[in-house]
Formats: sequence, C-alpha cells, structure tokens
Amino acid sequence: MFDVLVIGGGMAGTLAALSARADGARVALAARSHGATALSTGALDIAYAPALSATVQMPRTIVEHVMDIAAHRQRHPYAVLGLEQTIVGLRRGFAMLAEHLAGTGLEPGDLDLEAENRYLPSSLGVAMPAAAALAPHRGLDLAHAAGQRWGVVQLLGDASFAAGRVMRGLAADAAALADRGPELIELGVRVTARGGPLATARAFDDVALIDEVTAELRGRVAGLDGIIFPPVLGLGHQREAHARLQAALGLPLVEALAHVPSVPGVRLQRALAAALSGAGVASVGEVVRCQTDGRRVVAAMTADRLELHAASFVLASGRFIAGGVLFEGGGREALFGLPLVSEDGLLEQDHPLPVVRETPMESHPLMTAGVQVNDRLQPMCEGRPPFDNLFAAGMVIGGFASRYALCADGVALCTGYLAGKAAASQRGGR
Amino acid sequence: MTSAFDTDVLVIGGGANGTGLARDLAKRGLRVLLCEKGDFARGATGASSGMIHGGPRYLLNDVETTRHSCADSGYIQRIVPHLLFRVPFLIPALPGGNFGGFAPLLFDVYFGVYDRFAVLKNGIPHARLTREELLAIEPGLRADVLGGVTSDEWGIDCGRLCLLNALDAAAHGAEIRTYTEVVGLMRDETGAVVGARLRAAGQVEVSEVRARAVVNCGGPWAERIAGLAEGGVRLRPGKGVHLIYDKRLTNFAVVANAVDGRQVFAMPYQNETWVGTTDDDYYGDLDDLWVTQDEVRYLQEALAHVLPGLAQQRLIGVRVGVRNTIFGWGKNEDDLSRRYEIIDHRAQRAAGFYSLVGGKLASFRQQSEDAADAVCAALGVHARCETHMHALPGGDALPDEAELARAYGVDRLAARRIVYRHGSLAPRVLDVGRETPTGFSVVCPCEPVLECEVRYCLRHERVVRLGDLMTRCRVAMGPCQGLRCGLRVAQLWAEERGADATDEREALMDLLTRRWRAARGVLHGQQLAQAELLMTQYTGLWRLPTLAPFA
Repeated sequence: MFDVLVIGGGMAGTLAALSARADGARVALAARSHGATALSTGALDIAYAPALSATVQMPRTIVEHVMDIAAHRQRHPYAVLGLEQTIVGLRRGFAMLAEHLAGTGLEPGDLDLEAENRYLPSSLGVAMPAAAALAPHRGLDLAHAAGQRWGVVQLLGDASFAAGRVMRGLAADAAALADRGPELIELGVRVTARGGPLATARAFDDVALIDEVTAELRGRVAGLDGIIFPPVLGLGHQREAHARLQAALGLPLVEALAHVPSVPGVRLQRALAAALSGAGVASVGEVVRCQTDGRRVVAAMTADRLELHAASFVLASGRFIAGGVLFEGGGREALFGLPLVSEDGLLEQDHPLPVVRETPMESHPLMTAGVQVNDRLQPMCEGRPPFDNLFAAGMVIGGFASRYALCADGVALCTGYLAGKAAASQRGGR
Repeated sequence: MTSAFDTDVLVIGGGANGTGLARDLAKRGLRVLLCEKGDFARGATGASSGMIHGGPRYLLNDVETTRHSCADSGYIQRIVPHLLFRVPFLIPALPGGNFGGFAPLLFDVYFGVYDRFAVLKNGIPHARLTREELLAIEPGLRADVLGGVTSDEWGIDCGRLCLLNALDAAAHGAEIRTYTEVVGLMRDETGAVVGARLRAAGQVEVSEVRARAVVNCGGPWAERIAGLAEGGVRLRPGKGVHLIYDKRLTNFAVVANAVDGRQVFAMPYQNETWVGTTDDDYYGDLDDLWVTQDEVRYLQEALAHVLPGLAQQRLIGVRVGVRNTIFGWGKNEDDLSRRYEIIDHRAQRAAGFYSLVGGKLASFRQQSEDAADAVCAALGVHARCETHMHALPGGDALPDEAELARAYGVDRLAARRIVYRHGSLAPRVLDVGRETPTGFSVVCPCEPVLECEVRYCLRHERVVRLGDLMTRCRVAMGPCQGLRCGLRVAQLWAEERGADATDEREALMDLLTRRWRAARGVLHGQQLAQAELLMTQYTGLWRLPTLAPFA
C-alpha cells in the first residue's frame, strides 16, 4: 500500500514523485520505458511564445512569455492553472529538479523568471530560445556574445553534426538577435565518430579519447573565449569528461543542443532515475490497467500481475510518443479511457480524425490532444473530475504542444510538482 | 528565318502526357517549351500506382483500351528498362464471392483471354493455383481461400519517367520550365491561339511567350486550361486514393473486392506496400486534395477481407490524385472508358490550340505520339515519331549492381537502387561520391539513399525546390518521414547551391511540408507518435515553423 502511485517516469512523473516524497508520502513510480524526456535537446523549455504576427509586440521576459501563452491559448495548462499557481509551480518545480541534479554534471542553474530567454546554439545551427538548460549546454548566450571568439569542433566523419552549417546558421541568427554575434572558427578534430551520437558519447566515457581530443586541440585554442562541441562528450561519465577537457584546455565548453537520438536526453533520463531511487521512491513495473470504485481509483495492475493499492494516483504517461494518448480509429487516454481535448475544444471519442490541417506551418489541433484538467490538475470528464484521487501532469494533459510555444519542460516541472503535492495531500483522505 | 514566334509548340503540363509529348516533338526537330506549374508528375501521373498494364478490368467493356495499353506498355518497357518493376498478381477466389466454387475456373478462362494481350507487354501467361499453392506462396491470405490465378504485370516509377522524358526533350533542344503556370492564352483577331501568358511560382509579373501551337496536357486541370480559350473540354474527374504502408507486407500484388464489389489491390512498391484505389467523382479543389477517413477505411476493410493481418500495420502516407477521365453520363466511375482524345479547338474558333485528355499511363507514349502527329500535320511538319526507337536517358544498358558495389565500395542494395533509378548513368552518380569524404555515406537509412545520389540529383535532375528530391531519389518517403534524412538533405542543398541559412531552412520546410501533405490523412496509431517526434525535433532545434528572424 502506497500513499501515491505515479504512472510515467519522464520529467513530469519524476517531479510528481519527488514532490510527493518531499511532503512525506510513500511513493511508487511505474514506468514502461523511455518517453519524450529521453529525447530532450538539453534545453529546458519553460516559455517562449513566438510573436503571433509582425504587429504584435514580442514578450520580453520569461514571465511575460508565460502570460502571453496563457492569454492566447485558453486550454494551455498555464491558462488553466492561472498565473499564480503556474509561477509557484515553475519556481518550486525547477528548484526541486536543480536540487536532485546537483553533483550529476547536469545542474540546470537558477531560473530567473524576470530574465529574458537565453539563446543557445543547436546542433543544426539555430539559436534556440530557452529559459534554462542542463549544465553542458549553458555557457554561450548568442544574444550576448558580440566580440567573442568561439571554436566549433567538427569530429572527423561525424555526419550528425556539421560545423559548417552550425557556424553559418548561428552567424545569421546572432546577427538578427544582436547586430553582431560571436566570431566562429571551425576546429577539425581527427577523432573518428562512427555509429551515431550515442555510440560516440559512450566512447568519450573513456578518458583516453578525451586526452586524444585535448592533444589535437592544444595550441589551436589561444585567443578563444570557448568551444562549441557536438553533444557527445560522455554518456555515463559526462561530468568527468567535461571537467577533464575543460581543465586541460582552460576554456568554457558548450555542447550544442541535440537532435534525436539525443545524448543529453539519455543523460537526463538516467539522472532522473537516480534521483528517484535516491529519494526512496519505489520503482514498480509498467501499469497496464487500473481498478476504479465509483469516484476513486483503487488499484493499478502491473504487467507482472502485481496489484498496487494507493491513496492517490498521478497520471504522467505522456502523449503520443510515450503512448499515454492513443488515436486509433477514435482518440482516448490510454489507461482510463478519458476523453481528449485539443486547443480547439473537445475531441469526440468515436469520431476519427477531427481536424487534419494542411501544412505544418499552421496550427494543428490533433497534435495538442490530451486529457482536460481542472485547476487542481484533476482529469475531467463531462464537466467534472470522474475520480477524486487522480491527478495529471505533463504531456498527457491536452491543449498545448511545444510546436506553438516552447514550454514542454515548464509544463512538466510545474504540473508535476503541483500534481505530486496534491496527491500527497490526500493521504488518509479515504 | 526570324520568326514572330518564340517557340513552335508550347506544351502545358509536366505529367506523363506533357513530358511524353515534349520529348516526341523535340525529337522530331520542333522547338518546344514545356511549362508545368509545380514539379513533374504532381497530378494524376504522380498519384498512380505506376502500373503499366492493360487493365484486365477493361476487357469487359473497353477491349480497345486493353489492347492499346498492352502494346504501348511493351514499347515503354523497351525504352526505359531500368525503371521497371515486375508485379506478380494473385487473384484469389473467396467463399461467398461471385460464381461460388466455380470462381477459380472462370478466372482461368478470363485470364486466358487476357493472355492474348499480355504477350505484348512481356507478361508471362497466367497460371491457375490451388488453395494449397496460394497459401504456400502467400501465407497471409485468408485460410478459406478457394484457389485463384496469377497474372503478370509491370510497374514503373512515374515521377522518374516524367523526369526522364523531360531531360531527353531538353537534350533535343526543348526548354523545360517547372514551377511556371500558364495564366492566360494569347489570341489573334480570328481567335486563334498564338501564345500564352506565364507566371513563375511565387512571382507577380507575367511574361508572354508566342507559340505556333499550344497543347493542353493539364490532366485533371485540362478543363480549366481549355477554359482560358473558351475551349470545350469536359472531364469526369475521379479522385483516386492509394494508402501507403511502412514496409513490404507481401511479395505479390493481391487483388481484393471491396465492400461494394469494386476491385482493389495491395501491391509491394520498393520498401512499401500500396493499397488502392478508390474512384469517386470529385468536384473539389484540384490544388488541395483531401483524403477522408471513409476512403482510408474503405480500402483497409477491402484488403482485410483477403489479407486479414494488414489492418494492424502502420500507414505512413497516402497518394491522392484526380483522374482526367473523359466525361460520360449515366455510368458509375469504374465503367467509364479510359480512352483518350485529342481535341482540336479550331471548332471553338481557337485554332492552334489542342487538348490531350483521358488515357492511361500504360499508353502515354502512344497518346503523345498521336498528339504530336496532329500538331505536326497542322504545322506542316513531316518528321516521324521516334520515341519508341530510342532509349530514355540511362535506358540503353543495365550495369551490374554487384560489380558497381565492389568498384565503389558501397552496399549492394544501395547500388541496386541507384541502378534502378539511373540505369546506365549509375557510374556517373557514384563518381560524385568520390568528391567528398562522406560521399558514399547513407543519407536516408530507410531506403537507403547515398549522399552521392542526392548531390547528383541536385545538380542534374531539375530539383527546383527541395521537396522535388522526394520523387527523384525517394528521400523522406520512408517510415521516418524525414526525421533522419531531412537535416542532411537540407545541408547538401545548402552546399550544392551555396545557400545561406535562411534558404536552407526554407528548403527544409518545403520538404517537410510536402511530406506532411502525404501523411496528414493517416495520422493515427504509431504514425501519430512519429509525427509528434518529427514536429518536436524540428520545432525544438530549428525553431520551425517560425522561420521569421527575431523581432
């Protein structure tokens, strides 16, 4: 018997488990496999709302972006929770993540909602706006790098990272952001990268390879303010790899934000798993079915036929990538069959393909499908929460998609933290 | 002789008919300009399954079409042997179908008649199979199948067929302009058509070109184009949908009857399986075709009736197009004739203006020849058609894939694909790989496509927008939908074109947009997860779709 059972082991589920645990609850977490969190770019997207049109004034600070999102998208979790709860959730959720990532080499730094988004280099040569980022990706803000000189490392034969493209793209974006960007210099390194980013990252767990890179770069980095690397510097030992390389070269190192398959995502997922076990959250297998009793969820059945009882439950099962939301014929939430809502309104359950729009440039309601929640994060069905002790967090909540406003990590941190707290508060409530 | 005319013949349309006609006329020595408002094979041709068969279906009510198509299919196979693929058909008889237990016997007789035409297109005569034989070669068939027959057909890569026609026309002096739309026709005082007004895609200004003859090969758009000269073309546009599954689910084309008795089939095509097709009267926007959930369901149900396992498989896209069938009243779509017609608009006082409408892919060369004959007769040109005598580019010899794979150190499957698409030009494609250290690396792991082929296509195959590459070498067509190859391809585009960062992003956006159009009708199940992954990646790392520079 647990106080709280969290279903889903990504960013939202982890935060829910940690926050419930912090309130003294006995917590178990059920995870099927890696979901979208393991595909993270390395940035933490809290709030970035692109200007809706040229005549609209662009929000400036992160909190202004949050307000802009809530104002224009009424079903977005930030709008549903309201500004006050959202800000509290973001601040405390982020602080909780930072606390649990301490010492991993992935520390996300501080979150200052009154600051502007920083602009981080992506591996595709785009300056990406982000409120925060994991430590390996944080050292260069392209909006404030005029007059600096940075090297861009090209590993020999690495088809997944092209220094030429990165330099060309970043130069264009930095010029648009701040008149003048940093000067970028290509640094070819004769270390062969074969077999994709994850294989390369594993190879960098070996200090011998780090030392080879050091030897290659020594003497060529004088006058530089830092070096941009492809996001492959170690998988299990990235902290040691970074420290060793940084000490040897005496320069800040920044890994570009990653595309899939993502090394930063796998690192983050591993760190979250370690945080859970460190905090004393029990790990149980995949939940395949839940048992309900009138207005309460009573138990969850795992794939190994374990029956788990808990006082309250957090649904953090993700959206399409993770399988928390299904669309086969009609659409439904996978575990409880909850109805779906998109940013445009309810999706009728047995009516296939409600709206499929023309181009990716346009809004696409289907991509925002998920469960509807109230301001306590309880999933809704026909205007009321069907279960008093069920809360939702992360991408399983509908009404938003990262493609219209970069906010997926913010939603996970905020809703995860708040859902965990709400679930923990139900202890002894039955 | 200085002429008041800029060209002899303006051909409108870049499908099989238009490119076939341009090639035919250019080989006869005429000056030709071909205008296509998009890329090659974007209408009816591009949505076709590529089957160049006589259509045993037409035996019942249109035997001429069957004979014609079989004969021309034979010619087409001769001029472009590398671009063909064999399609062994299985026609199973099921309990509860027409003719009951006699069905296999009747099929046997029916296809015995078809065999007389099949030899024209190099088809092997049909064979009658017992239930056990059928299940042995295709275990996915329904277990209670009664028996059936085989039929031997050929298919062709339609997109490349049109490209090769155009390239060959260009080699004979024709000017080919894709992304150029005809927005008006120029008339003289008698009403005769003496040229056209053209507008390049995305441009405002209109240019004029004077031509001695104008031929409308607009496919389903032919009515609209003929309307520019009040010309009388009447079509009965029929929308056709093919579903595309993510892998080869069968090695045979399997025929099935849909719920309404119509015949549809599942066909292996490269790494995919195609299921089609529907045929429904269509009155909507030709430039924005939608696939409805009913159409998807109709085809899925039809095939599930014969291959029960198919319904659970992952759909990755659809091909949808509109047939330019000649108008007929009082018949259902399937019973309409697939014959073709060359209309001389002199009758509507528009001398010098012709429309080529109707017909089938399998006889496109014959259709082009007849249209060229009509134009040449009017212009007083006596040159004869030669399109059946000479190979299309790359069609003159088939290099040995194993030898190429060894010589260039590439995977044999990759070499086979290059030979399939480029025929005797395969060594030239592979030579490009020696220019860069990553020249032989795999750009698209789904197919596979090598970097050298992408570069070759970008240089030599009239790729105007990045999305055009999909029909040149199939990048972004596979199950990953451009997730893995999109970035590489856009980067190669930038290198080959010397494009800046903005151009590169716009090019990638074009590729993803076109990919999206094919996938948007089948967004469910695993495909939806793939779409989410694709969108998240490109939004999270490219800031797409907000391409605009920072405010």
